[in-house]
Amino acid sequence: MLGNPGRSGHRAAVAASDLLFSARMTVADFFGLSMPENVIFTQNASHALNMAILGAAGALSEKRTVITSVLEHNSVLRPLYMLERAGKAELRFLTPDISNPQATLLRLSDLIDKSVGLVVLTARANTCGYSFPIEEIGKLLYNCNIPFIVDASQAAGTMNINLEKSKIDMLCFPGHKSLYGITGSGALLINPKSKIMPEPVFSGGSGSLSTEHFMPEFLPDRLEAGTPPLIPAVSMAAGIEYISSVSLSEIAAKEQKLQSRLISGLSENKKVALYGCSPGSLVLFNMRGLSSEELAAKLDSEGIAVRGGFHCAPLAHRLFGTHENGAVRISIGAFNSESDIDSVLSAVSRL
Amino acid sequence: MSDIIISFDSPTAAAKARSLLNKNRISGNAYKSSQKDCGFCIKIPSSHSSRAIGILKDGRVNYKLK
Repeated sequence: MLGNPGRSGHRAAVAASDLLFSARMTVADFFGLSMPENVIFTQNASHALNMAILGAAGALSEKRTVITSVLEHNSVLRPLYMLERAGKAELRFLTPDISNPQATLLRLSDLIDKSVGLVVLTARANTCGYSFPIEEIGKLLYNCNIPFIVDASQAAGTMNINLEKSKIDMLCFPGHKSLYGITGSGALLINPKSKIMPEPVFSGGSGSLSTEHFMPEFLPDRLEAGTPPLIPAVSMAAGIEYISSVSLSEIAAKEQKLQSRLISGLSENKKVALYGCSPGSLVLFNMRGLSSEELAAKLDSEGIAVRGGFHCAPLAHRLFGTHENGAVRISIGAFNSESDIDSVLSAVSRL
Repeated sequence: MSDIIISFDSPTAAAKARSLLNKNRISGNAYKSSQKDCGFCIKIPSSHSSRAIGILKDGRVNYKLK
Protein backbone atom coordinates (compact mmCIF):
# COMPACT_ATOMS: atom_id res chain seq x y z
CA MET A 1 0.00 0.00 0.00
CA LEU A 2 1.42 3.39 -0.92
CA GLY A 3 0.69 6.69 0.74
CA ASN A 4 1.70 10.22 -0.21
CA PRO A 5 5.51 10.40 -0.33
CA GLY A 6 7.08 12.86 2.07
CA ARG A 7 3.80 13.98 3.56
CA SER A 8 3.40 11.70 6.56
CA GLY A 9 5.26 9.31 8.81
CA HIS A 10 2.99 6.29 8.56
CA ARG A 11 4.30 3.16 6.94
CA ALA A 12 2.47 3.63 3.67
CA ALA A 13 3.87 7.15 3.22
CA VAL A 14 7.39 6.02 4.10
CA ALA A 15 7.08 3.16 1.60
CA ALA A 16 6.05 5.69 -1.04
CA SER A 17 9.00 7.92 -0.13
CA ASP A 18 11.38 5.01 -0.50
CA LEU A 19 9.90 4.07 -3.88
CA LEU A 20 10.22 7.65 -5.10
CA PHE A 21 13.81 7.82 -3.91
CA SER A 22 14.59 4.57 -5.69
CA ALA A 23 13.25 6.18 -8.88
CA ARG A 24 15.50 9.19 -8.27
CA MET A 25 18.52 6.90 -7.98
CA THR A 26 17.67 5.08 -11.21
CA VAL A 27 17.28 8.34 -13.13
CA ALA A 28 20.43 9.86 -11.59
CA ASP A 29 22.58 6.80 -12.45
CA PHE A 30 21.33 6.70 -16.03
CA PHE A 31 22.31 10.31 -16.69
CA GLY A 32 25.63 10.39 -14.82
CA LEU A 33 24.37 12.42 -11.87
CA SER A 34 26.03 11.60 -8.56
CA MET A 35 23.34 13.16 -6.32
CA PRO A 36 19.85 11.61 -6.58
CA GLU A 37 18.47 14.58 -4.61
CA ASN A 38 19.25 16.70 -7.65
CA VAL A 39 16.61 14.84 -9.67
CA ILE A 40 13.50 17.03 -9.71
CA PHE A 41 10.46 15.14 -10.96
CA THR A 42 8.15 17.07 -13.26
CA GLN A 43 5.10 16.27 -15.34
CA ASN A 44 6.90 16.62 -18.71
CA ALA A 45 9.82 18.38 -20.39
CA SER A 46 7.96 21.68 -20.84
CA HIS A 47 7.47 21.81 -17.08
CA ALA A 48 11.16 21.04 -16.53
CA LEU A 49 12.34 23.57 -19.10
CA ASN A 50 10.16 26.35 -17.75
CA MET A 51 11.57 25.70 -14.29
CA ALA A 52 15.13 25.63 -15.62
CA ILE A 53 14.92 28.65 -17.94
CA LEU A 54 12.70 30.93 -15.86
CA GLY A 55 14.45 29.77 -12.70
CA ALA A 56 17.88 30.53 -14.15
CA ALA A 57 16.70 33.94 -15.33
CA GLY A 58 15.39 34.60 -11.86
CA ALA A 59 18.81 33.86 -10.44
CA LEU A 60 20.60 36.26 -12.79
CA SER A 61 20.82 39.73 -11.35
CA GLU A 62 20.25 41.66 -14.57
CA LYS A 63 19.14 41.39 -18.19
CA ARG A 64 21.50 39.10 -20.11
CA THR A 65 21.86 37.66 -23.58
CA VAL A 66 20.60 34.10 -23.96
CA ILE A 67 21.83 31.94 -26.82
CA THR A 68 19.54 29.28 -28.19
CA SER A 69 19.11 27.64 -31.60
CA VAL A 70 16.79 27.63 -34.58
CA LEU A 71 16.05 23.95 -34.00
CA GLU A 72 14.41 24.41 -30.59
CA HIS A 73 10.96 23.28 -29.51
CA ASN A 74 8.45 25.82 -28.21
CA SER A 75 9.09 24.50 -24.71
CA VAL A 76 12.43 26.33 -25.00
CA LEU A 77 11.40 29.16 -27.31
CA ARG A 78 8.26 30.31 -25.51
CA PRO A 79 9.78 30.73 -22.04
CA LEU A 80 12.63 32.61 -23.73
CA TYR A 81 10.21 34.82 -25.68
CA MET A 82 8.44 35.56 -22.38
CA LEU A 83 11.74 36.66 -20.86
CA GLU A 84 12.49 38.78 -23.92
CA ARG A 85 9.07 40.43 -23.80
CA ALA A 86 9.53 41.17 -20.10
CA GLY A 87 12.83 42.87 -20.86
CA LYS A 88 14.83 40.24 -18.96
CA ALA A 89 16.71 38.70 -21.86
CA GLU A 90 18.00 39.43 -25.32
CA LEU A 91 17.95 36.38 -27.59
CA ARG A 92 20.64 35.27 -29.99
CA PHE A 93 20.04 32.30 -32.32
CA LEU A 94 22.55 29.67 -33.37
CA THR A 95 22.08 27.99 -36.74
CA PRO A 96 24.08 24.76 -36.69
CA ASP A 97 26.14 23.46 -39.57
CA ILE A 98 24.37 20.14 -39.81
CA SER A 99 27.24 18.45 -41.66
CA ASN A 100 30.08 19.78 -39.50
CA PRO A 101 30.06 19.79 -35.66
CA GLN A 102 33.28 21.78 -35.48
CA ALA A 103 31.76 24.50 -37.60
CA THR A 104 28.77 24.57 -35.24
CA LEU A 105 31.14 25.05 -32.30
CA LEU A 106 32.82 27.93 -34.09
CA ARG A 107 29.47 29.52 -34.85
CA LEU A 108 28.56 29.23 -31.16
CA SER A 109 31.88 30.74 -30.11
CA ASP A 110 31.24 33.68 -32.42
CA LEU A 111 27.96 34.36 -30.63
CA ILE A 112 29.53 34.44 -27.17
CA ASP A 113 30.53 37.72 -25.56
CA LYS A 114 30.44 39.19 -22.05
CA SER A 115 26.72 39.86 -22.26
CA VAL A 116 25.83 36.15 -22.55
CA GLY A 117 24.37 34.80 -19.31
CA LEU A 118 22.81 31.53 -20.44
CA VAL A 119 22.81 29.00 -23.28
CA VAL A 120 19.84 26.71 -23.91
CA LEU A 121 20.12 24.02 -26.60
CA THR A 122 18.45 20.82 -27.60
CA ALA A 123 20.61 17.69 -27.48
CA ARG A 124 18.68 16.27 -30.46
CA ALA A 125 16.19 18.22 -32.58
CA ASN A 126 12.66 16.82 -32.47
CA THR A 127 12.15 17.46 -36.19
CA CYS A 128 15.18 16.22 -38.11
CA GLY A 129 17.06 14.47 -35.30
CA TYR A 130 20.18 16.64 -35.61
CA SER A 131 22.39 16.28 -32.52
CA PHE A 132 24.37 19.22 -31.23
CA PRO A 133 27.88 18.27 -30.03
CA ILE A 134 26.72 18.59 -26.43
CA GLU A 135 29.87 17.38 -24.73
CA GLU A 136 32.10 19.82 -26.61
CA ILE A 137 29.63 22.63 -26.04
CA GLY A 138 29.49 21.82 -22.33
CA LYS A 139 33.26 22.12 -22.08
CA LEU A 140 33.31 25.35 -24.06
CA LEU A 141 30.67 26.93 -21.83
CA TYR A 142 32.37 25.62 -18.68
CA ASN A 143 35.51 27.46 -19.73
CA CYS A 144 33.43 30.59 -20.38
CA ASN A 145 31.57 30.19 -17.07
CA ILE A 146 28.21 30.33 -18.85
CA PRO A 147 25.35 28.19 -17.50
CA PHE A 148 24.16 25.53 -19.94
CA ILE A 149 20.64 24.11 -20.07
CA VAL A 150 20.01 21.11 -22.33
CA ASP A 151 16.64 19.98 -23.66
CA ALA A 152 17.04 16.21 -23.90
CA SER A 153 13.41 15.49 -24.83
CA GLN A 154 14.33 13.70 -28.05
CA ALA A 155 17.75 12.52 -26.91
CA ALA A 156 17.00 10.84 -23.58
CA GLY A 157 16.95 7.11 -24.18
CA THR A 158 18.35 7.39 -27.72
CA MET A 159 21.93 8.47 -27.00
CA ASN A 160 24.29 8.41 -24.03
CA ILE A 161 24.14 11.56 -21.95
CA ASN A 162 26.40 12.02 -18.94
CA LEU A 163 25.41 15.28 -17.27
CA GLU A 164 28.44 15.73 -15.03
CA LYS A 165 31.03 14.54 -17.55
CA SER A 166 29.55 16.83 -20.24
CA LYS A 167 29.44 19.76 -17.80
CA ILE A 168 25.75 20.34 -18.43
CA ASP A 169 24.28 22.49 -15.68
CA MET A 170 20.65 21.49 -16.12
CA LEU A 171 19.14 18.65 -18.13
CA CYS A 172 15.42 18.44 -18.96
CA PHE A 173 13.43 15.58 -20.48
CA PRO A 174 10.05 13.88 -20.51
CA GLY A 175 9.51 10.30 -19.46
CA HIS A 176 6.96 9.44 -22.13
CA LYS A 177 9.19 9.48 -25.25
CA SER A 178 12.21 7.22 -25.50
CA LEU A 179 12.33 6.49 -21.79
CA TYR A 180 9.07 4.55 -22.19
CA GLY A 181 7.38 6.00 -19.13
CA ILE A 182 3.76 7.13 -19.02
CA THR A 183 2.57 10.61 -19.98
CA GLY A 184 2.80 12.94 -17.02
CA SER A 185 6.42 12.02 -16.29
CA GLY A 186 9.57 14.05 -16.71
CA ALA A 187 12.54 15.44 -14.84
CA LEU A 188 14.91 18.34 -14.39
CA LEU A 189 18.40 17.29 -13.34
CA ILE A 190 20.75 19.79 -11.72
CA ASN A 191 24.51 19.35 -11.75
CA PRO A 192 25.91 19.46 -8.18
CA LYS A 193 28.47 21.88 -9.62
CA SER A 194 25.92 23.91 -11.55
CA LYS A 195 27.07 27.45 -12.26
CA ILE A 196 23.61 28.63 -11.32
CA MET A 197 20.88 27.47 -8.93
CA PRO A 198 17.46 28.23 -10.41
CA GLU A 199 15.00 30.22 -8.35
CA PRO A 200 11.77 28.34 -7.67
CA VAL A 201 9.11 29.00 -10.29
CA PHE A 202 6.44 27.19 -8.29
CA SER A 203 5.92 27.56 -4.58
CA GLY A 204 3.77 25.49 -2.32
CA GLY A 205 3.92 22.53 -0.01
CA SER A 206 7.23 20.72 0.07
CA GLY A 207 6.58 18.47 3.08
CA SER A 208 9.51 20.17 4.79
CA LEU A 209 10.21 23.32 6.82
CA SER A 210 6.50 24.06 6.76
CA THR A 211 6.78 27.09 9.01
CA GLU A 212 9.11 28.88 6.58
CA HIS A 213 7.58 31.39 4.14
CA PHE A 214 9.68 30.35 1.21
CA MET A 215 10.66 27.11 -0.48
CA PRO A 216 13.60 25.34 1.20
CA GLU A 217 17.11 25.91 -0.07
CA PHE A 218 17.92 22.22 -0.41
CA LEU A 219 17.00 19.95 -3.32
CA PRO A 220 14.73 18.45 -4.41
CA ASP A 221 12.31 20.24 -2.08
CA ARG A 222 13.29 23.69 -3.38
CA LEU A 223 11.93 22.86 -6.83
CA GLU A 224 9.26 20.25 -6.11
CA ALA A 225 6.22 22.13 -4.89
CA GLY A 226 3.17 20.01 -4.28
CA THR A 227 2.65 16.27 -4.21
CA PRO A 228 5.33 14.62 -6.38
CA PRO A 229 4.21 12.59 -9.43
CA LEU A 230 4.99 9.24 -7.82
CA ILE A 231 3.45 6.85 -10.35
CA PRO A 232 4.78 8.69 -13.44
CA ALA A 233 8.25 8.92 -11.86
CA VAL A 234 8.28 5.21 -11.07
CA SER A 235 7.09 4.44 -14.60
CA MET A 236 9.95 6.48 -16.04
CA ALA A 237 12.42 4.62 -13.83
CA ALA A 238 10.96 1.31 -15.01
CA GLY A 239 11.45 2.43 -18.62
CA ILE A 240 15.06 3.30 -17.87
CA GLU A 241 15.57 -0.10 -16.26
CA TYR A 242 14.22 -1.72 -19.43
CA ILE A 243 16.60 0.31 -21.62
CA SER A 244 19.54 -0.60 -19.38
CA SER A 245 18.59 -4.28 -19.49
CA VAL A 246 18.68 -4.30 -23.30
CA SER A 247 21.45 -1.67 -23.59
CA LEU A 248 20.93 1.80 -24.95
CA SER A 249 23.52 1.32 -27.67
CA GLU A 250 21.71 -1.76 -28.97
CA ILE A 251 18.40 0.07 -29.08
CA ALA A 252 20.02 3.06 -30.80
CA ALA A 253 21.70 0.82 -33.37
CA LYS A 254 18.42 -0.96 -34.13
CA GLU A 255 16.55 2.33 -34.52
CA GLN A 256 19.20 3.71 -36.83
CA LYS A 257 19.11 0.59 -39.00
CA LEU A 258 15.34 0.92 -39.32
CA GLN A 259 15.72 4.62 -40.08
CA SER A 260 18.17 3.83 -42.88
CA ARG A 261 15.74 1.28 -44.33
CA LEU A 262 12.95 3.85 -44.26
CA ILE A 263 15.04 6.65 -45.78
CA SER A 264 16.32 4.36 -48.48
CA GLY A 265 12.78 3.31 -49.43
CA LEU A 266 11.33 6.81 -49.32
CA SER A 267 14.21 8.17 -51.41
CA GLU A 268 13.09 5.96 -54.31
CA ASN A 269 9.68 7.64 -54.39
CA LYS A 270 9.84 10.66 -56.69
CA LYS A 271 6.91 12.31 -54.95
CA VAL A 272 8.68 12.31 -51.57
CA ALA A 273 10.84 15.12 -50.21
CA LEU A 274 13.07 14.33 -47.22
CA TYR A 275 14.41 16.96 -44.85
CA GLY A 276 17.75 16.86 -43.05
CA CYS A 277 17.42 13.38 -41.56
CA SER A 278 20.37 13.00 -39.23
CA PRO A 279 21.33 9.46 -38.13
CA GLY A 280 19.02 8.38 -35.35
CA SER A 281 15.35 7.56 -35.13
CA LEU A 282 13.50 10.36 -36.94
CA VAL A 283 12.46 10.83 -40.54
CA LEU A 284 10.90 14.10 -41.72
CA PHE A 285 9.22 14.16 -45.13
CA ASN A 286 6.44 15.39 -47.35
CA MET A 287 4.66 14.12 -50.46
CA ARG A 288 3.95 16.29 -53.44
CA GLY A 289 0.26 17.01 -53.77
CA LEU A 290 -0.62 16.49 -50.11
CA SER A 291 -0.47 18.76 -47.10
CA SER A 292 1.41 17.30 -44.14
CA GLU A 293 -1.86 16.86 -42.21
CA GLU A 294 -3.50 15.08 -45.15
CA LEU A 295 -0.49 12.80 -45.46
CA ALA A 296 -0.57 12.03 -41.75
CA ALA A 297 -4.32 11.33 -41.91
CA LYS A 298 -3.90 8.95 -44.85
CA LEU A 299 -1.18 7.06 -43.00
CA ASP A 300 -3.43 6.94 -39.91
CA SER A 301 -6.13 5.28 -42.01
CA GLU A 302 -3.56 2.56 -42.73
CA GLY A 303 -2.89 2.11 -39.02
CA ILE A 304 0.34 4.13 -39.07
CA ALA A 305 0.62 6.79 -36.33
CA VAL A 306 2.78 9.75 -37.31
CA ARG A 307 2.70 13.49 -36.70
CA GLY A 308 2.06 16.10 -39.37
CA GLY A 309 2.43 19.85 -38.95
CA PHE A 310 5.06 21.96 -37.28
CA HIS A 311 6.00 19.79 -34.27
CA CYS A 312 6.04 22.87 -32.02
CA ALA A 313 9.31 23.83 -33.76
CA PRO A 314 8.47 26.74 -36.06
CA LEU A 315 12.03 27.99 -36.57
CA ALA A 316 13.23 24.53 -37.59
CA HIS A 317 10.55 24.34 -40.26
CA ARG A 318 11.57 27.77 -41.50
CA LEU A 319 15.13 26.44 -41.81
CA PHE A 320 13.93 23.42 -43.83
CA GLY A 321 11.65 25.55 -46.01
CA THR A 322 8.55 23.79 -44.68
CA HIS A 323 7.16 26.74 -42.73
CA GLU A 324 4.02 26.96 -44.83
CA ASN A 325 2.96 23.35 -44.97
CA GLY A 326 4.87 21.67 -42.16
CA ALA A 327 5.99 18.08 -42.67
CA VAL A 328 5.33 14.55 -41.46
CA ARG A 329 7.61 13.12 -38.81
CA ILE A 330 8.04 9.40 -38.33
CA SER A 331 9.60 8.48 -35.01
CA ILE A 332 11.06 4.99 -34.69
CA GLY A 333 11.24 3.32 -31.30
CA ALA A 334 12.65 0.26 -29.58
CA PHE A 335 9.55 -1.78 -30.34
CA ASN A 336 9.38 -1.08 -34.06
CA SER A 337 10.42 -3.69 -36.62
CA GLU A 338 11.38 -4.06 -40.26
CA SER A 339 7.82 -5.05 -41.08
CA ASP A 340 6.61 -1.74 -39.59
CA ILE A 341 9.00 0.12 -41.89
CA ASP A 342 7.88 -1.94 -44.88
CA SER A 343 4.26 -1.15 -44.01
CA VAL A 344 5.03 2.56 -44.11
CA LEU A 345 6.82 2.23 -47.45
CA SER A 346 3.96 0.22 -48.89
CA ALA A 347 1.38 2.75 -47.68
CA VAL A 348 3.35 5.70 -49.06
CA SER A 349 3.83 3.99 -52.40
CA ARG A 350 0.05 3.69 -52.80
CA LEU A 351 -0.55 7.42 -52.27
CA MET B 1 27.26 5.30 22.37
CA SER B 2 23.55 5.02 23.10
CA ASP B 3 20.73 4.68 20.61
CA ILE B 4 20.60 7.75 18.42
CA ILE B 5 17.78 9.58 16.72
CA ILE B 6 18.61 11.22 13.45
CA SER B 7 16.24 13.78 12.00
CA PHE B 8 16.03 15.27 8.53
CA ASP B 9 14.51 18.47 7.23
CA SER B 10 13.77 16.83 3.91
CA PRO B 11 11.75 13.65 3.36
CA THR B 12 14.10 12.90 0.47
CA ALA B 13 17.11 13.09 2.77
CA ALA B 14 15.35 10.66 5.09
CA ALA B 15 14.67 8.30 2.19
CA LYS B 16 18.29 8.56 1.08
CA ALA B 17 19.45 7.76 4.59
CA ARG B 18 17.18 4.71 4.81
CA SER B 19 18.42 3.56 1.43
CA LEU B 20 22.09 3.89 2.41
CA LEU B 21 21.61 2.28 5.80
CA ASN B 22 19.63 -0.62 4.35
CA LYS B 23 22.31 -1.15 1.72
CA ASN B 24 24.85 -1.33 4.55
CA ARG B 25 22.63 -3.65 6.55
CA ILE B 26 21.81 -1.30 9.36
CA SER B 27 18.22 -1.55 10.39
CA GLY B 28 16.41 1.53 11.50
CA ASN B 29 12.89 2.32 12.49
CA ALA B 30 11.16 5.28 10.98
CA TYR B 31 8.67 6.77 13.37
CA LYS B 32 6.54 9.82 13.59
CA SER B 33 7.83 12.65 15.64
CA SER B 34 5.19 14.61 17.46
CA GLN B 35 7.23 17.78 17.49
CA LYS B 36 7.83 18.48 13.84
CA ASP B 37 6.71 17.40 10.42
CA CYS B 38 6.43 13.70 10.44
CA GLY B 39 8.23 10.67 9.18
CA PHE B 40 11.65 12.21 8.96
CA CYS B 41 13.39 10.57 11.85
CA ILE B 42 15.35 7.35 12.12
CA LYS B 43 16.30 5.64 15.32
CA ILE B 44 19.60 3.75 15.15
CA PRO B 45 20.55 1.14 17.74
CA SER B 46 23.68 1.93 19.72
CA SER B 47 25.49 -1.06 18.23
CA HIS B 48 25.41 0.61 14.82
CA SER B 49 25.34 4.29 15.61
CA SER B 50 28.98 5.18 14.84
CA ARG B 51 28.95 3.30 11.57
CA ALA B 52 25.59 4.80 10.65
CA ILE B 53 26.88 8.34 11.13
CA GLY B 54 29.87 7.51 8.93
CA ILE B 55 27.61 6.15 6.21
CA LEU B 56 25.44 9.24 6.23
CA LYS B 57 28.45 11.54 6.08
CA ASP B 58 30.01 9.59 3.19
CA GLY B 59 26.66 9.67 1.40
CA ARG B 60 26.45 13.44 1.81
CA VAL B 61 23.10 13.18 3.57
CA ASN B 62 21.86 16.28 5.39
CA TYR B 63 20.89 15.20 8.86
CA LYS B 64 20.72 16.38 12.46
CA LEU B 65 21.26 14.41 15.64
CA LYS B 66 18.30 14.89 17.93
